[in-house]
Amino acid sequence: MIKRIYFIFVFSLYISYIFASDKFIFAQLKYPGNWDPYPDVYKDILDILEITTSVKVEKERIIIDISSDKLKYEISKVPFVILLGNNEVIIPFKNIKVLRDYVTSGGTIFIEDTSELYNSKFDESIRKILKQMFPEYKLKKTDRDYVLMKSFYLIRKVTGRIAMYNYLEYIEYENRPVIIYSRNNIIACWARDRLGNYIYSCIPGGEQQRFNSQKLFLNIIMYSLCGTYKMDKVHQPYIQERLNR
Amino acid sequence: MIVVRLSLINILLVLIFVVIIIFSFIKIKRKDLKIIRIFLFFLVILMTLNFGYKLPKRIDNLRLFLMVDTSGSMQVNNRIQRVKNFLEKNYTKIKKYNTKIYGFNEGKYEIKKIDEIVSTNKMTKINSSIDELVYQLEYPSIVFLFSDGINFTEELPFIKKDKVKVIPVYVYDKEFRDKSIFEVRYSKIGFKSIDHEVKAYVYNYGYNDITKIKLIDIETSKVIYQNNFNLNEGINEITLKFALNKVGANKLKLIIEPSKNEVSYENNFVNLDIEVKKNKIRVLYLCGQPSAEYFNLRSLLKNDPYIDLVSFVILRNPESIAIVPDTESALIPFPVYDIFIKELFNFDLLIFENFTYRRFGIPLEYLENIRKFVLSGGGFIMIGGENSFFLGGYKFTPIEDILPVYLTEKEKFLYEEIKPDNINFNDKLTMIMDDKTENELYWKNLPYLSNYQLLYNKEDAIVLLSYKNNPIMCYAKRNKGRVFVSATNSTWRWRLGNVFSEKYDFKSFYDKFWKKVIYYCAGVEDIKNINIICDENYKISEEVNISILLSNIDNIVSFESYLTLPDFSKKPLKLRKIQKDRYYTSFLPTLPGRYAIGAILKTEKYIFKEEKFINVTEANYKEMAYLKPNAEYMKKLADFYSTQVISLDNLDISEVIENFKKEFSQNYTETFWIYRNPFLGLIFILVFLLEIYIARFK
Repeated sequence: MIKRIYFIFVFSLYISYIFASDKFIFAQLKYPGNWDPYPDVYKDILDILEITTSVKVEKERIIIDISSDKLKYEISKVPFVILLGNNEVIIPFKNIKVLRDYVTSGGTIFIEDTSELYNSKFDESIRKILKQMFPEYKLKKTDRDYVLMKSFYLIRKVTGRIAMYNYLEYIEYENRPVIIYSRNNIIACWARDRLGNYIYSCIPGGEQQRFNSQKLFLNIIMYSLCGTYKMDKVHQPYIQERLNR
Repeated sequence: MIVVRLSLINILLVLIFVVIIIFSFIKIKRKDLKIIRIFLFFLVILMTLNFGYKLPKRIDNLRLFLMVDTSGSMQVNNRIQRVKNFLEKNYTKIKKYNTKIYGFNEGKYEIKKIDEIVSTNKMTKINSSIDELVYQLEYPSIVFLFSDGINFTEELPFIKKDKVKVIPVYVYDKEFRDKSIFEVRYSKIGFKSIDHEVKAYVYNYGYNDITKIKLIDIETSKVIYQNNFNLNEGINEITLKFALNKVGANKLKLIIEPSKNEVSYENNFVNLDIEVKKNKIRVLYLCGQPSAEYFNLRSLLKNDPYIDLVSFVILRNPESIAIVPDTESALIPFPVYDIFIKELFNFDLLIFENFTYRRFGIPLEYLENIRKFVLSGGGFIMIGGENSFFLGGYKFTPIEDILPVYLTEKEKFLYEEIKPDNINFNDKLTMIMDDKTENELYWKNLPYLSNYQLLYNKEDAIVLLSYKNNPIMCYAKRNKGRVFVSATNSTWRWRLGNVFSEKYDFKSFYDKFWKKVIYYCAGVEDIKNINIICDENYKISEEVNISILLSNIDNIVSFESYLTLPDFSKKPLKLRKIQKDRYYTSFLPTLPGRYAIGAILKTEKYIFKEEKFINVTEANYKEMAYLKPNAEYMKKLADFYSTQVISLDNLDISEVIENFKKEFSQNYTETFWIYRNPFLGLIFILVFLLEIYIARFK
């Protein structure tokens, strides 16, 4: 019993330490269902993020229970959260309102359908949830010039483990994407086995497609920390010149 | 000359008496009685018919008054000296009469000796000065008015009397050439980098050449505007358009290049005072590392229409590994020179968030530029992080001088969830909510911050928030500039406080707080959405031209303008759009007094209102601006007094006086009424008694 109490105390301290940080936190939303298809993938992502950018990262991820009553307190401490899955997602209605408040107050949510199906239950349920969350807005599609395509790397094509759709979808609020939705299973591109080999092949583009998808995900993270910075006028001539090459 | 004053009764009486005379003539037999009776009734008829005769009136005591214009314009071309010379030359003629000399400019005053006649710098009020004199005069008088006719108004005097003759004596210049700035119309409020308009009315007489007109900054002698004009004879309207970049008071001088042989060069320039305000704040935001603080603060600034934001965030450090060539990344070179040298002074506010200069080879001289920028009026904000303050290497740099905190080795960046335990509620920057109690509740219930830099404030720092006696936020003035420090880069958590708080709108609180800080540091307390631009003073019947400039308003539903007259009645003004965000309207004031020009703008979400007051007065002239003698006014005076203008060179005082006397005699006579003569009555009684005596006793 004492051990349990001690463990909870230390863990709480640790969690509060993590929350008390200006470092990037990989915060993932948990829900009843297959919420964590790629459990260790965040480590690789954070490593690459740290060595290739100026972003400082918190090595451990945070898991936030989307069904919990404490959702609003926990989610308000992180600016960016990720929701993965391949099956139906059920969120209590009151927490849908919390998610709405979260994004309208400055937070960003990345949602990934890892089912790789055109008509998946995950997709169906997510669209319902988004409809409830933002009845006044519709999901839009990114184009080549969209900010997510150039927030760090220049991305010419939207891909993932599969190249099912050549766009991401997003809901825009106050001139910025607050919810980003991918159906190409970008996260799977990062998954490795214990020997460090990538588990899943990328179809149809192979390793080039993987690399592209990894860069796209890094772009999404960079966007969550910089906003639409790369849409500023000062950047456009450089970016345009490089894109034209 | 014989005069008769007749009425119906007189005529009836006369007829009755005639009948009586005829009757008497028939009835009376004695000749002597007949004659007497006829004589009596003749007298009666004489008295009844009110006979009189006119004789010319004599002027025994003619009064002579000399009124000499001593206003500023009489200095020019020795006008007043010429008058003095004339008076001295004609002194013997003048002193024969009961003469008084008066000087006049804004009012009249007595002069004892001709030597005392001197010009002043005052303006001319001919009409009121003459009225003052003529009003007092009772006896036949001649007033010689020596003036160049330049009067402050076109109005004529009010008072004239039959026995007072006013003779305008025109003091003119044989050779007159002048260029002058007659009047200038401009708005005393302008906006940085936005075209400002000045209308100058330039007077030209006697020249037919190209005239250079320029506008210079008095403090820097810099030429702001310059152009050549071909001026016509008379008044020319010239419009100058220029933009001022210096915020605050701008003292300018409008100059007409002098030409040879002008009667005066004093009227070739005019000083203008224009207060230049900012209509947008330019902010430069440098962030050393992507962060949620940068994300939120940048978003706030980007969405503010009053703010022009240029931001750079260091996405990759020199030691970071590049996994793609630069051509595959969206990274651009960090423009160190442009930011710290070339463009810095074009900004109003510089923000450093977790940014160290050391990593990028920025020389200390560039930091000195930041110090100069602040001291000359720029704003600076430093936001904490591991690359800020002492940890960022700013110790012993010019930045240390301007910060309101000490940079010490004791400094640490702590990852700790904290809430400020001491809040300065009375500072203007912490007064976010209108209600004091509500404001305090907001501050006390803000979400926790997640980190802070351990700092120590300087004595002159105004601390807004502190934790365990260490400042979390503080600021200070540095000469003309303002510096603000935030020891934490986690205020974004306040914004996300809306997620869990149902009672408080922390998002709005965060937005308002940072906007207050930004505006304050940029030296702009408030920026108006609607700016009504026109001069503050006009004359009756002078068109008031109004520009209305809108600052960053979108989704306009309706926009109206109105005019409130001095009698408080209102009428709409017709607006004409001349550019994006710029409208024009005008009106012609007919009443003197205070007018209000108003504008009401409705957008989908808000209603904006603005009002500007102007004064309209009677017409007036500036004394030195228009130096050409005004023959027309002198003629109008002469017409008013039914006399003629005489030029100084042609004036013969004695002749004028003699003519006046003759005219006076012709025009002024005395009438002697016979019936009023008491001797007539006496004769009647004597003759009547004689008749009785003859009839009774003889």
